[in-house]
Amino acid sequence: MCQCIVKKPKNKKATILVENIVFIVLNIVFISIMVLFVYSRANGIMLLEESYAKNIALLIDSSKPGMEFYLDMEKAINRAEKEKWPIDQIVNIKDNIVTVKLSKNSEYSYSFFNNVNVIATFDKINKKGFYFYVDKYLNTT
Amino acid sequence: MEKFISIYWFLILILTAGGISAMVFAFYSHPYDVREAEAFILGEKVADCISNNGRINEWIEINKENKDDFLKKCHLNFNTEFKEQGQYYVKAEIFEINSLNDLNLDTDNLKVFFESGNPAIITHCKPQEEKEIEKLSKCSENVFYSLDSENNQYLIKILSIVKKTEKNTK
Repeated sequence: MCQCIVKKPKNKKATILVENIVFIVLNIVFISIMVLFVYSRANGIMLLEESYAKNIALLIDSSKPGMEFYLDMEKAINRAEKEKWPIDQIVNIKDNIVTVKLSKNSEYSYSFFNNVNVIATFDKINKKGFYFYVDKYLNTT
Repeated sequence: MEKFISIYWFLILILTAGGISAMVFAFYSHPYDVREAEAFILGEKVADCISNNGRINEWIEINKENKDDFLKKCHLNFNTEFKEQGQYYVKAEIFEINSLNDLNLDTDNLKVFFESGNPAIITHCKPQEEKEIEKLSKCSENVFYSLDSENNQYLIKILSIVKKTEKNTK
């Protein structure tokens, strides 16, 4: 009985099934690689630094002395942790230039025109973002 | 297994991967352009500095030269991280009007004029009135109505421009 089955010209159904499974697996592998590629580009370190620096600069431009705002920077913090960069040093504001740095070898700076003194403090409790306190107008121009 | 090693199959894979990669590179290699928002905020800031609650602020002296104090009075700092300075320009004109039905905005009615920044970038505004050109500076114009302490009527026109092309365009 067994030999009979083996001797059949070809197990066509089984071949078709294996072919289809291999075909589907290859497609899934290909799509996964593409998705990973897009994800890695979208969460690139340069892109994160640029978007956060510009975001902070625009928020400071629209603010007035006495205001305080909180910026959720979870993505940036996770990335800095991966890169072993101290998370409390991600944001640095000197004169009227914001610098966001997420690794040893990269940083992005953007200037703001609002002549205010801004104090950036890392949220040590939730560890998810930074507080920005707009202190006072500066006299220098 | 012929299906998988077929040259057409690889060709399709390569074309798809190439297409997606090209699109991703084109999209993510382009910097975020925030100049329009920046120019708008600059205009609003100057407007707040000139007029508050519909009244022209006291520091503005009508018919007098106020130019030197402008940046300081409005708490603006036009220094940037760029080697080439002159990334901003702002101009404010205050016209006296008789009524809102008679808007005669010529030089005779111009009572106060402030200007600061790089005036060379004003030329970037005109070509963009019809079509947006990425490589040129972004301009924002605000016009609003205000009164002075003696209830004289004014129309205030503010033009704010941000260049910063190096960091906002490819």
